[in-house]
Amino acid sequence: MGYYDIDDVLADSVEFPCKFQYFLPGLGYLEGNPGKPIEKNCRLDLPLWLARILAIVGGDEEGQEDEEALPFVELLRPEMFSPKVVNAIKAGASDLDLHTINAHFYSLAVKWITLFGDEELAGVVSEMVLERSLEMNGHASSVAVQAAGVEAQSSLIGSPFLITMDESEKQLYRLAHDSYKRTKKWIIQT
Amino acid sequence: MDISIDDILAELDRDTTAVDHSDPSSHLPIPSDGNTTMMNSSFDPSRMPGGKNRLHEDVTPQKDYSRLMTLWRNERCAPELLPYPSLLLSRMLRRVQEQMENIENISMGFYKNTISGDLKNSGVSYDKTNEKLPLLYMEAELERVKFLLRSYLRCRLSKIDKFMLYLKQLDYDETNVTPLNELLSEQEQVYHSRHFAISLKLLNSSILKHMPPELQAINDTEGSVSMIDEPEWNKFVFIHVKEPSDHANEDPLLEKNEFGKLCYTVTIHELNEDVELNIGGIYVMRYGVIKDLLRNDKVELI
Repeated sequence: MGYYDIDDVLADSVEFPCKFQYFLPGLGYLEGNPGKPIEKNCRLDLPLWLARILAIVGGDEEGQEDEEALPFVELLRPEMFSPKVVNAIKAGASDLDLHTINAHFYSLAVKWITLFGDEELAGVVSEMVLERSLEMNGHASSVAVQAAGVEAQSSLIGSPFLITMDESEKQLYRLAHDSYKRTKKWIIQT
Repeated sequence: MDISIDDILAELDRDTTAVDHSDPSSHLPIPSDGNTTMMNSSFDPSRMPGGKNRLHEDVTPQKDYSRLMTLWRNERCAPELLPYPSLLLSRMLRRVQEQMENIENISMGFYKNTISGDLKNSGVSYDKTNEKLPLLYMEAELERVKFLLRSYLRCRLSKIDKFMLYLKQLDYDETNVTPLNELLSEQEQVYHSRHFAISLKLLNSSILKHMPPELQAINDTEGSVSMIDEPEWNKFVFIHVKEPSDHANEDPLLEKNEFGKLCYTVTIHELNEDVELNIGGIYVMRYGVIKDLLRNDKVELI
């Protein structure tokens, strides 16, 4: 997750539901009506790069020192980490359509867990990674290389699992598939 | 006792191989002076510092090659940039240069046919194929060495690109353990600083000059995302725990576990867990955990 990592940039622009805890004048453009203030307790979807920092920094306008600085926004639990999804993961992670839940599910889950220290979600997600990795390895290792040199099309076109993978899984799958394919090609050719 | 005998055997082995090496070469149509200079030049640096340092005792082209092989594998698998082996690389580069000249000389000899004439005079049976084969070997071997060197250096360059800002920061950092001139060769330092200047200029003139002054730094670590890419210290790598070298019983890290096998013990800090790395075993381990063992040449990456 480097600074110039394009997938990280894309994952950071996913919007999260937030609740404002202050009355903020002039920020109405976040809501789509510039010029107007943002009311307290107004619910808004903010991209993660903005929401993350606003959820940490305390907006202490009144200058009260006794009170632990209340952050500008409160991050609400997004749909993709809702109990419904968590239960679906627990039920059968390899049959889950992760791509429609969110294309950057894993990196967002990591970010969410670092923000909130959500141990339960961490456990669920790491179980899920393991379970889905097994499935991915199975798909990646089934390489169809016909004769020497002649490469078959990437096997399993339309395999339902492949379109349910999230972006990081796709990268991993591509790497694994490539290395299986090259090894097989090398074995056949020599 | 055992170890000392092994030492003696190793010495003997090395001697015989050296003899073996020179023996066939006298039959081969190689100008003998060219060959001996090569042998001498490769042995000379080993002989001179040999008295002081045990490590330098066994500097041979073969050992250097396998050492470079190991370094190359480590460099390709490690997430960080490893220190530059300046002595080894200078030796290898010199040998490549010499071998190139050597091959040149020999192939010149073919045109003139002087050697074959000499050989005929000396009574060795002259055969055309017999003459070409060693030359082919030498050229192929040279290509292998050159490929290794090229791949090694290119791999380092790509890491220098990747960790440009991190290395720059290491340079400014006074508390740093390994100074930059130990980590990089001179040419790599030049590459690093120039490439840094060029990319900084590009970024500055295309984007950064339009930014507010406080956002113009490209090595800002205070912002929400650190702009300096550090090596991924926790990357998992495959390691092979090497056999301890001849002075094994001097190694304080090496211990015996309950099965009587020799092992190194490392601690994974995050899990607070001790792991025994058996000699000869292959493990998948976090890089940060085995970094010191790798630096001390106890393990190699595969």
